[in-house]
Amino acid sequence: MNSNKTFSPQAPILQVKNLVKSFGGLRATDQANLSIELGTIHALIGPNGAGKTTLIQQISGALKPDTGEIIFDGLEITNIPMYKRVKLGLARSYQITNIFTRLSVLDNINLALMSISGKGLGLWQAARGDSQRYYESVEIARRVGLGPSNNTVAGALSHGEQRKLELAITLATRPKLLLLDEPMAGLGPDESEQMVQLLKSLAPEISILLIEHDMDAVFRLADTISALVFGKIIATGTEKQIKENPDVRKAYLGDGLDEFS
Amino acid sequence: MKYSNKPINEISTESMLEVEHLTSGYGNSQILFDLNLRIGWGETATLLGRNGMGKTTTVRSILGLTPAWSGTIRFCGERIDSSRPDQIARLGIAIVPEGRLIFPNLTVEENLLAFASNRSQNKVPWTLESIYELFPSLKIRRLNMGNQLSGGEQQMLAIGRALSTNPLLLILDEATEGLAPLVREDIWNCLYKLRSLGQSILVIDKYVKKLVALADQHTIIEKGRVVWSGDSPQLNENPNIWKQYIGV
Repeated sequence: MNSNKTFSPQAPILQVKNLVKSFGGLRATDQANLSIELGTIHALIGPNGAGKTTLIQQISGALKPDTGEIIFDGLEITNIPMYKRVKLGLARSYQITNIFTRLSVLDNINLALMSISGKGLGLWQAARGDSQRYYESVEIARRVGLGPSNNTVAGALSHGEQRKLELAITLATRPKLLLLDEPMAGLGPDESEQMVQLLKSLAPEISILLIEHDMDAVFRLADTISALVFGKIIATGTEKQIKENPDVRKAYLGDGLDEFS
Repeated sequence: MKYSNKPINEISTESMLEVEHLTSGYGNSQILFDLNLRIGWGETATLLGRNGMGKTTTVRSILGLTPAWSGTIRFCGERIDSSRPDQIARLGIAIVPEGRLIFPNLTVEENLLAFASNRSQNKVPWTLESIYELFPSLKIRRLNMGNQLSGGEQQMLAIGRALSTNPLLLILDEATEGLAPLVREDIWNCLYKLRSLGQSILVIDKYVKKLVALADQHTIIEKGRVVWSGDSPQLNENPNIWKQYIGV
């Protein structure tokens, strides 16, 4: 597969070309094209049921597209399995929180680190036996703001903290591109603010593609915004271009931009 | 669709819902401490506060899902703090739960008919037809299964399902969660409409500014205790309260 690798200093981290995915008679992804520039935060917005999650699933490898191409970091990945994509640096979080609730914060992060170490999960060795890995997980916990909760059992964390832990687990796979499905979901106003700051601090080292309905967060975070409607990308542009786009207003934004202001 | 016809036994009480000195929690951990809350007839009330402060637990206690440890909860003058959830629901409290909890293997129409009732003895009750009128997209999807709906349609169905019981009190817990801005607008418009019809409503939502515009009374909870209560003008006059307890 390495023969597909193309070298260009300005190459986007991710390119989606003419992607199509149908479920029975429903075209959930309809000739979708998307290009995410290296080091940027790109938001994907669109009505409920437009196919945002379906598109992310094809990028992460959870779903196989019918036709079209996905190019990640110069490599065509359209048909390679999800775990290989993770090892290439493509990580995904979910709309709902996915953590091990009975393990501590550090053990959750440790497991993720072990899973990509190439040594397998090593279930018979102490999770904290490897001191280098231990320090790495401490560092990741600190980075997402969970430092004070290192030894807290994940199930006892608040919802906002659990979302941070989920992000920490994702970061432990050393991603080049993060796919985030509604990272603000269920967060209160102050927790949303912390998450915005946290995500901002990850770029440009890590590129991000996020789905989000919280427009305040989208406009503060995203360098570029794409709108997906009925499986098609109908617009891509800056905050201003998206806000002024009549099709996006009609299909998605409406006049409801006053919720926070 | 006016809710002016109070059942006879409530004429003596001023509030529809009266929660006094409520304590509750899960297992050994106490969540609510001496909590007081009142909702008047036809009033739109909110529960505000950060995540994890006890908003949903308060609602669960009212519904009998997380029973009160002590204190009293009166609904239409009647003690409900040791009643079962199904008994409380039959008295006329309906919930639009966080996460919608639509029945995935029932059609839209079946979801709307399964619990249909006229618990408030409305003279012009909510019917399948009037719910479809409120949410036309549900009519288009009436034969689809619950798990074939978009998030917005599921939320409309959850509200429609609650209205199908013709509740005296409608409770919405994070009803705009995960919804596109345009659909959130539909939900807000729907709440304004219900309010104008005289429906009593208790709402929890993260879009606090929208709530202040919509609601009459607000109760702010911090660590299971009420730290502030008042009306919208009072809340608007106190930006410090916003900062301190809500984080906006």
